[in-house]
Amino acid sequence: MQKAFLVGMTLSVIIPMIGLVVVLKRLSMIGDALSHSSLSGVAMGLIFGANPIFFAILASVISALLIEAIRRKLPKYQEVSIAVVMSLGVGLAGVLSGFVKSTTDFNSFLFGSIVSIPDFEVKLVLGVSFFVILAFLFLYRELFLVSFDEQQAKMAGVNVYLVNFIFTILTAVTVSVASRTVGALIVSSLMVIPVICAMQVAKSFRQTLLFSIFFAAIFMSAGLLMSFYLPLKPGGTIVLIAVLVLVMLFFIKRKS
Amino acid sequence: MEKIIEVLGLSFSYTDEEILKNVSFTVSKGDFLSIIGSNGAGKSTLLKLLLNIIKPQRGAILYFGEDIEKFKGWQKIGYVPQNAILNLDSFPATVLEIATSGLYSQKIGMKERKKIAREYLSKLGVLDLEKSLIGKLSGGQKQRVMLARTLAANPEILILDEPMAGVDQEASQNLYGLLKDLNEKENLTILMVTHDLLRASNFSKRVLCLEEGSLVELDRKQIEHELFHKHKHP
Repeated sequence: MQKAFLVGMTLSVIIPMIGLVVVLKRLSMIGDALSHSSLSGVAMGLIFGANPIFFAILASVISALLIEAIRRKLPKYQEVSIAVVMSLGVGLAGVLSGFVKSTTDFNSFLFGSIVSIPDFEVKLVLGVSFFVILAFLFLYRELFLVSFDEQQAKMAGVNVYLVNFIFTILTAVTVSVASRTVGALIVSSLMVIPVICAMQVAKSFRQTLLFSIFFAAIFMSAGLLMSFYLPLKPGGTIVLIAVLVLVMLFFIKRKS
Repeated sequence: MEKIIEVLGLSFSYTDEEILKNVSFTVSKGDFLSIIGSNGAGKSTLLKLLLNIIKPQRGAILYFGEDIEKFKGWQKIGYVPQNAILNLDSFPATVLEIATSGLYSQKIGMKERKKIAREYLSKLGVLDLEKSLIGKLSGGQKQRVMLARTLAANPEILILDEPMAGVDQEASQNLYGLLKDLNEKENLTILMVTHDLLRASNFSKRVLCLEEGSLVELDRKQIEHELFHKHKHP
């Protein structure tokens, strides 16, 4: 359980960090597209007898780059790029899963296996998270500008192409390591809901980021605790708590 | 007078029909130039060409005498896009955070950035809103913040695309007056694209009309004729 909390709290930092920019760039479904694509990587890894996480990361990165490439070609139809890649990911995952010998292993990626995470994957999550946090803080101003207005960011001297490329990689890597722990079907919700919760209470961009992390940590801890004492799957429990809190915040905001 | 923008024989078409036909004009230091035209006249296309988002089939654009393709001084160009204020509704940042972000290209610390941002927010009359979320402001206030943000970077020219979209009449009038003041007192060069001929003629020094792909500079008589014609047949 300690390992689960350590991994959970670490993911509570990086998932909403990425989620904030994803939401502001109107790419909220990208988490779904990448997590489904990472499933096809998982299937490939399991078929070849290799570590599925590395294949998940590879599949996720390729998909993220594909989304970015399509988005640049069709800037007015960004959601199309996500839909196309998600379809490709789902299709590949579906077909390849038929060749996977151990369906238990594959299914553990759907809803996550945070409570039974091996030491190697704990280290992987910590290592990836350190890298993501460092990159995010380093590119904080650039990500703000690119989220605000890409054209103006370009004119201000931001290398928008490079920033988007790096952010795409960060998103892909975050989604694939998070998929392993909280589940591919859950990670997208964790990217978006804490950010939306934060937007209900925050009074600045910085506060929105901090509150997003705060809410993600609350959902993660509550979900893990509940799944520990009750016969509930952690991933699903975390998301349901998140949705409940969001609804409550909407209600409280409306009342006030 | 220093030439900031020179547009030479610009022609552009998306398909077979030419949107812009041999358009030429110059924006000199200290100009306040408005380009007017009805919807679909090609104003947005012209702006996209000026911002190097699209390339013309024929013609050239020079910034400070340098071809746009080789031009690297985009920080000298202050640009406020159309409907900029609409995108601000859901962006979770304070007025000060938005204004400070306009100083990205300046090699100064955060303390200095905030100081400069506050100076321009004060000039535009919105300093008291610095801690407010940008989405909570009125259209006119948001536009003032966007102008403060753009001006804080000390541009040589301000390019505005329909700056009064989403701004009420009274606020528009005040903003136009502010732009005129900035042009006359601080010699700020302004290029404004708008469909509002009345205000364009009242506040800017020159008015160019884009119609059926061609650009024509309107003199006072022509402006009055256009306004009379519009009044009679709105």
